Amino acid sequence: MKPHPARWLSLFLSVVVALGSSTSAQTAARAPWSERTLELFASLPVQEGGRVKPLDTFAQFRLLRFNGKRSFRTEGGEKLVPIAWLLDCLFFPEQASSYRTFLVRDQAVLEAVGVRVAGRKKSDRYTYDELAPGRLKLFSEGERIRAIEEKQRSGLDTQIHALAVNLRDFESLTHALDFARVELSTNASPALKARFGTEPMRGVAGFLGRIPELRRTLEDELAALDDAERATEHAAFEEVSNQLARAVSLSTAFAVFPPSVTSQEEWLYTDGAAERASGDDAPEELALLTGWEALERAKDDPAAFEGALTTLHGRVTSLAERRGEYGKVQLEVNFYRGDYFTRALVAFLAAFVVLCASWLAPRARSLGKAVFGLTAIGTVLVVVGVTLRCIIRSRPPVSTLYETILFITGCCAIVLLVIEWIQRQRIALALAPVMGAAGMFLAMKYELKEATLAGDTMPSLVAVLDTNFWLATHVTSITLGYAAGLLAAALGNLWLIGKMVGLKRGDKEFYRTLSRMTYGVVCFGLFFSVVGTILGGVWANYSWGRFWGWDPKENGALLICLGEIFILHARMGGYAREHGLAVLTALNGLCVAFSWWHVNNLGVGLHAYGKTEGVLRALYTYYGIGLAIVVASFVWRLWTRPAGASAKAESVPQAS
Amino acid sequence: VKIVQGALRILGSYGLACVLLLDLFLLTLFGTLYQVESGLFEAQKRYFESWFVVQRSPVPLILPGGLFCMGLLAVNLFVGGMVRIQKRARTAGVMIVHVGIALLLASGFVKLYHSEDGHLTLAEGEQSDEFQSYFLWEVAVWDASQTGPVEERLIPHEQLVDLVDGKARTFTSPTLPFDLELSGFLRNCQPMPKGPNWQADSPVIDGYALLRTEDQVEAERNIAGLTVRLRERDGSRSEENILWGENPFRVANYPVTFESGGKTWAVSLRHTRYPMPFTIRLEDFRKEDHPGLNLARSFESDVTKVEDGNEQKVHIQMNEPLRHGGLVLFQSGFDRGQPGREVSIFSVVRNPSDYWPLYACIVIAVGLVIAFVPKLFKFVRAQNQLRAKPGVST
Repeated sequence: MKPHPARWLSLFLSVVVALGSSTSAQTAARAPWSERTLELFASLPVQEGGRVKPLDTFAQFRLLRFNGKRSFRTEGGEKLVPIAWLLDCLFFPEQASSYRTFLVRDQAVLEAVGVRVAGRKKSDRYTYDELAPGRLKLFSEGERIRAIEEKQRSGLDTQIHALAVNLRDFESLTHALDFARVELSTNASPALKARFGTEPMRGVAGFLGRIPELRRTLEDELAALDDAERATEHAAFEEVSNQLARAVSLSTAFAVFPPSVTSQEEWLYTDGAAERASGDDAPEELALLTGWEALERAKDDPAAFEGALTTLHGRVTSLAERRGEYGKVQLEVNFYRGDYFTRALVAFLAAFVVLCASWLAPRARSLGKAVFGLTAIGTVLVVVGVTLRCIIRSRPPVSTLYETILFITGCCAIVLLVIEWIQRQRIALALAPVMGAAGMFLAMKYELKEATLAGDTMPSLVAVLDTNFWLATHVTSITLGYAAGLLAAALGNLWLIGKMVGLKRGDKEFYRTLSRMTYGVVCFGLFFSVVGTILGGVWANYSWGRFWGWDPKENGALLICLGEIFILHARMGGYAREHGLAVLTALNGLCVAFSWWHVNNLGVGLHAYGKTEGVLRALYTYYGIGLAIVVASFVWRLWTRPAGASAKAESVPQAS
Repeated sequence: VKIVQGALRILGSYGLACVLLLDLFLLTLFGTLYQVESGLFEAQKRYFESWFVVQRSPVPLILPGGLFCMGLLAVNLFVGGMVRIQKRARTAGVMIVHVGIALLLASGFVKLYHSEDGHLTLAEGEQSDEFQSYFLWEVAVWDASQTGPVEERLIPHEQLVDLVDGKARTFTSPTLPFDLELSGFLRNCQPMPKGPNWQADSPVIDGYALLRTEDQVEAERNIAGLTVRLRERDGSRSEENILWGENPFRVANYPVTFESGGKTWAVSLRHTRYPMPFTIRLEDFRKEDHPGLNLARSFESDVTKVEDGNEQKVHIQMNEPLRHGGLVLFQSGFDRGQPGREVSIFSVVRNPSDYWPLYACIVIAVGLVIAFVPKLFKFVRAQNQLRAKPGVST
């Protein structure tokens, strides 16, 4: 993020914020938010992460980052969705401070900043009020850790820093409307009273709107006063200015003010909007500030609040539409409401449960059809979700690591369903829900990382990636190659585990079919891996002037190609038969994981994204399990092979 | 004949293909991991541009290096995949794939031995008709008292890098009134005031000497140094000095000077420079960020290409390079430079096999489609027939 004058005074500002927290204190509990209010507020646009998105997305990923979940129940039992939580943070900050919003995965974090809360688990959620006593220590620790390079930070350091950032961002939300709550001393002098009446003014918009007039007339008016009166007036005006500036500088949680000047790409935070509103030609910014103040004033009256929100929504959206930036906001709201990937996970899990039931009753064909149907539903949900993301981003399906997970899961499920449709032996059908569920589960886990690292799962791309042609060709091909490699590995592992546990013992045709499928998927994968890898080189040649630079990501792709070419040659040369094919494809699956995730975490090369906590641990676990299965299969083979038996006795799987 | 046939059988065998593929796999894997500690340049030299690799960690291994492996793989591919393969319609796809891979390997060899690459770094308003290497060094000698175009005598990189372990080399030229003796090449070093606490890696000249420092992970950040002895041909006088390379990105060094034959001569160690058949003048550089972020959405340069007196305006940006005269200029970076005078960095490449990988990609894709699609259809047909058999459960 660019350093914003008021927004990024780092953690120091948070300390100041706390000193002024009494101005935002609210004691009244709110009435439940109406559906209409939630709907309107969700589709208000905000600019964050280099793009315009709905406030709903902003709220979802903020809450996900703070809480690890997208919704939670309050102590009173009310289930809060992200947008309702955000409304509470903005309009009822004291109430929001009592929600158990912050996930702390290790109590050592709290001990490090001197906070003790009795009766909590090691990993638990805490309210802002519970954490507040340790905030100064937390912020100073956060500052200390910020100076340490990410690679050098310990796990505890990372957690402390994350909590400090979360707490700071929460405070910034609870102070977002300080500009609407502030009481300006506009009755502190005769000249002020003459203009603004005898009551202090609440909110800054009324004063800002009069600044052009003050610029024109105030100087002459004050010049007519004697020195003492002029000094008094000066002091009074200065005090009002200070109050206004302080409130505005603290109200900088998000950029929700589209500039009326369409050539200006950067949306305004409150301070920018206030600066514009005080000019002669910015009635729209002033109207927006007035709109937010109207919301603050109406917050205890649901009907009035809804009316004020409707007005504000109309103003903001018409301005954003005029700028051509509102077109996909509602679609994005609908996309997240659709929750396609969670529903897909449910469908895959349901399919898996039915699959287990079908093993108990192998003759019940309806169960097989149910598995197919549920898996197909899960697959369609993934495809719809990926398609909507493409439309929202105006991008091909894969441009981030998160999207590779969705795409690979969808492709694996589709390929398995097609194989099942052709073969109808329930082998592919058994794998489809398992791979679908595993993919969706991984996507959900990684989404949390993306929420922390990038703000949401649709980040802006660096300049070199800003090309839909190469994203559509190279990235899509290579990701299809990953999908096929993983699918082949799954089939290979199924062969190995099946043999070891005695699945379909004596049914040679079952294992022969499995080998044929594995071989076919390896061929499919080889095509996309080779074409994708070379296209990547052609892209690199086009962009950087070299086809091949031995960059870790390039090498990872090459490893997959070499692995798959090796498999085909070993098979054709007779060195790998059914068992060998299964072992090699299982090992190739480890290569895919290395290329897909590990090289990005090496910290070198053009695709180094830095150390993503937890990824390496998960990878080593995956490598360990994969190797253990392969080693176990060799042990099993030695154990079960009859004395004098020759490897030649095993048939070579045929390609057709 | 039998020996030749036997050799061909081995050279074109699946067994050799598997061994070489496994070797290349291991080289790629360990070469990737090696980059974490030693950087890309070193990994490339050690694993991929070598004949043999001796590795101690993470697993002790002696492997045929990338050059050996890929060279032999090319032979194996030619003999096995194009000569000895059964020439039938069903192997046509495989043969085409092998032709594509051969083209790809050929493009790699051409790139390795016949390409030049480097960078052209210009501030707004500056122009140049040469670019310079990221990694290679040269010693340049010229008459410093000359004005206008200067004729330089150059000593290339390969004549410098082996001047280690006390080895020295004397360079003479009929156009120079003196000889140069070069020695003590250091890949990465720093000139320092000589103190009692460190051992100098060069002679101490005017209280300064070169201190060898660890190689940088990003090899282009290494700054080389060496010792030069400038000697009058008649042996009447000689001077010893140290040469320290210039910073790769615009931090100028100062040449050593030597009075000889009534002229002042300058000697400098610098990155190898390559001439371009045209001049590039940077008119304007722009970097645009995504709104509200410090993340570049685009960076682009407006340049003027001057060739034979003709000027042409050219726009260069990410993914849109300038291709002209056998050279390709890519927008690769920028530097803030002085206020109001931004600096644009272009990668410059001269690669005769520029488009070969694209052609190889098309050939391989076509070959794979021809090889695999009939098998897929055959498989589907077989499954359909199997299902159509009475009594087969579906």
